[in-house]
Amino acid sequence: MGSNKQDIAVSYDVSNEFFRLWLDERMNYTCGVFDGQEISLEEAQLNKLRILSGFAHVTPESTLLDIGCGWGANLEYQALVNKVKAAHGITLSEAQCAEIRRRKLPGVNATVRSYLEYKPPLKFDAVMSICMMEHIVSPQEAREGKSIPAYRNYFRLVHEWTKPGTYFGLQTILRNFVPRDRQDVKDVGWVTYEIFPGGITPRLEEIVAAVNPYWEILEIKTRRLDYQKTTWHWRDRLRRNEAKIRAEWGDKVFDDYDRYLSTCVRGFEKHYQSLAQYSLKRID
Amino acid sequence: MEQPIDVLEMFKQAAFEVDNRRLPDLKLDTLIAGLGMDSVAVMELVSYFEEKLSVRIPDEELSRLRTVKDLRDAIARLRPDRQFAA
Repeated sequence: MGSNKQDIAVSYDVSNEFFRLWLDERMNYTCGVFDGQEISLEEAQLNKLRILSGFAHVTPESTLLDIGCGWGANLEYQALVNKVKAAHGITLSEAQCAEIRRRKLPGVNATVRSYLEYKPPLKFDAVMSICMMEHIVSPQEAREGKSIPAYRNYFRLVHEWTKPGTYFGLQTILRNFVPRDRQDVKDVGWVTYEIFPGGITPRLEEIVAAVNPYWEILEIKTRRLDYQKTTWHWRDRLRRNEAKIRAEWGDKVFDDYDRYLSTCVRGFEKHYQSLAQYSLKRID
Repeated sequence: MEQPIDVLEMFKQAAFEVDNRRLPDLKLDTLIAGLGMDSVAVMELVSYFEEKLSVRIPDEELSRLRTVKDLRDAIARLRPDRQFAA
């Protein structure tokens, strides 16, 4: 169901050095928060982590779970800025897990594990998941109407892994509507199948339905233009490193990622996609 | 009086334009998923109908379009002013 380990390797294991060239210095591969200000990508990513930490009510006493923890940007923020007691991360990417271990963060551990197979070593009292839900359901499963049951199962599992009173800071890309422009249909389809195989972005109404009966939605904030700006910055950095990328990873990698990021910039501009941040509270 | 909309003929034309595919045996009860077109091509095909007929099929209905008849019925609901060929 959704993206398997091989799919995830396609999306995230090109090379850690490749992604480091065009993401921010901590390697957040999710939407930053600019809030209309002229700030750097690095500052925008810190804004995002601060906001989602607030949504998850993270404190220095927290034992936090980060589901789909990427290369560890959030785990690093939790360990060094929020100074949480412990932070656990799970990812399906071997390359991402290797990067987290390389950072040697205090109180942090990471495991290569699907959320479907995860057996937590303890109950958590804070949860964050930043743009992982896009990997839960495949396009075929979405067409077959399986999205809401799959998302509900995810929310059920996270409920099982947590203590009463837990808050959950969640961020997802949103599938607002299917493009009708023929070239956009081709490009969005290409990104879905070639860059992020096995996954598809959720619709807002699916999330709203699926949280029940496990989590209460306290807040939802959409940030479509923040993600447009984030992907613009990524493409700008990618292009500034064009010669190096073509030399080290080949023309196809550069051309594919330029097309993918250009599709994202256009997709957020034209409302095909948006982004939402949610503060959820466990229903006890 | 406008001619009735022949969704079957339009579908054949659309399949040829977007996917270079000839479908001489197409019927109203033909399963779209059985035509061998990928989902991107199917979406392009839907776009073809929307452009030609000035309609917009809601996204939540797209996943329920199983047959050519389902597509015809979805369009017919959006264009009650037009006749449709049987």
